Amino acid sequence: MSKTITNSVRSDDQLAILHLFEFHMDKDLDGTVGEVGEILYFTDHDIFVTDGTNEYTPLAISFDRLVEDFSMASDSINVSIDNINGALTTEALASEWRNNPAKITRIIYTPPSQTLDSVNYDYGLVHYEAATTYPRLDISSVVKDTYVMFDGLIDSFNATSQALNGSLTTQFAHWAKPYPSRTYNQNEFTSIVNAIVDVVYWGRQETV
Amino acid sequence: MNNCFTTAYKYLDLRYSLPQSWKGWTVEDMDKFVKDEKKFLSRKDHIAFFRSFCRVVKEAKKDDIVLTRKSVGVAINQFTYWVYNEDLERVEHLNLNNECLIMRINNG
Repeated sequence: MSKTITNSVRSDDQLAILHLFEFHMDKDLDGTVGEVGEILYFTDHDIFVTDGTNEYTPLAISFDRLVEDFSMASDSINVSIDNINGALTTEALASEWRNNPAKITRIIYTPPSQTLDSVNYDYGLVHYEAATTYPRLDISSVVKDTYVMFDGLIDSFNATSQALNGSLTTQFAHWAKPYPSRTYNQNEFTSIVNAIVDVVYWGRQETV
Repeated sequence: MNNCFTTAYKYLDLRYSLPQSWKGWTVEDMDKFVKDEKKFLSRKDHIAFFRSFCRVVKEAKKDDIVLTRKSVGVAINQFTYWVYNEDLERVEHLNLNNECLIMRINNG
């Protein structure tokens, strides 16, 4: 996979780095990829980040160092999200995460200049915002380099009262599998449960 | 003069036309409210005010009202809300927690 690397920001010494996370959720629990009900947008920046279209919620979120395999590609990555107030647990259990797209993007940007009390700050003020709106960084118009660090699928997740941990895998994970070793569609659980509780009576299905 | 209630009220009133008066209090009393804020909050009048035209919900969404013992904020999404910080004289965002009472405007 080729990557386009730009170098706009590094022509200047002042730069900042943040990461944007996108997790696609399936609200219908039917496991159909592409029929995504909601996309959760998070960032590891400490204020909200908007790219002009989407707004990324700041959360304590971290991910493992990317490790490349023998083909010089990253196979999987673990993400840990602070489970604030248990809201993520509610979200996690009410939605189907697995097999849905996930993306991690690194933004390297030059902080936008700001003026406060007629003093101009070339590289911005940390967290200064107008008094009537919550702090938000708009990266749509700043000088930036954007790298998609990881674009794959949510493989598994687990939630505790403190954190939500997920494992992401590349979309190429399916290529080596002639037949899926596991499926993610929870609809099939119904038929499995039916098979378990079905009562066989003298070699035939008990109907009474 | 601003505080968390007046800031949230003005923001929501622009979008949802909130009641202009409540129990003898009117929007013209905003400054008076800021002055008597502690009394207002200790009587939980801020909760009673929003309860008069809102319903309590469990999961927040944008523009829901977020009430704590000492503040009135507005939900940004299901995880966070913004509130006016009088000491800093600006709006800040906070994470929703179990102490937050979330209300949704009945016609909202």
